Amino acid sequence: MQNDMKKSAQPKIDDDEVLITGMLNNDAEAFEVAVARYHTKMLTIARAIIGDAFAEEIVQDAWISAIRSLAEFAGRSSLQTWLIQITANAAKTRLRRGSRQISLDENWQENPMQDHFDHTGHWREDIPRWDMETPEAILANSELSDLISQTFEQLPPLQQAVLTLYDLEGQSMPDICNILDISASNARVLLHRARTTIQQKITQYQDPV
Amino acid sequence: MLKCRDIEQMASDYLNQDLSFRQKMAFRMHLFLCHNCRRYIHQLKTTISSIQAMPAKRSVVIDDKIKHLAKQLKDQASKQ
Repeated sequence: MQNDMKKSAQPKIDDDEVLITGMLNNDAEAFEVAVARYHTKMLTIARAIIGDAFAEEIVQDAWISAIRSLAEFAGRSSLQTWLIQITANAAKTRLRRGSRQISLDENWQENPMQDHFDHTGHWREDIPRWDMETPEAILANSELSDLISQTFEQLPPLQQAVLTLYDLEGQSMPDICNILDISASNARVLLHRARTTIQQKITQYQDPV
Repeated sequence: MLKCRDIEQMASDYLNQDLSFRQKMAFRMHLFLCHNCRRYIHQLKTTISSIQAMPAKRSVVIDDKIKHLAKQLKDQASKQ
């Protein structure tokens, strides 16, 4: 991701309305910006619902549906929210057509922090202090910043989707449950697991004992 | 009295401001007494802020794969 960033050009389009008008006018740059901006997020949602095998196909279908109805997009939500909803609906329809349920994040209910506590429920060892203890200091360290990106990319699909929607996109928990078809309690646990996994990586980097 | 294990499990709900008043009071009481949990919560909060600051560091990337897919979609749109 970081390497790709270095060779990228900054697109000029930064407004949904301009982007949509551009796409309706068949402007190549508008399509490129839309795909660059939203494709990965749409893939994250599709993977979370239906798994890796069908995700690309679902997102392609979602793009085509979106482009077909782009002229009718009323702007009641952001373009991103609309695309995510189309993707989620396409993935859920496919899942139902296959009449099967898949468990994407196996063992997600196991608490990765379990071993950190003794039988009385207290921390087994003191929490190590971080040398870099602000977001600015953490992200200024390119190795650590890359490690966070890699850990994020490697999160199980549902955890990555919940983290993306809640922490990066600021969606509400009810909306996330609706998009991903999961219960509120599961969404909260998935979010916490995802955050904890990244926190543990930062701790391991800062205190490699 | 909440234990450190409870604090860990409730930590995201606390930071998301999703705890009830009673839970929040019990949570804060534990934090007042436990330096490890205070540090844990501070680090989790920093982690969340770091995750949230990541997109600002990323620019929109237009590489060959994206150009290819964008062209496919543009061709598809022009057929309509």
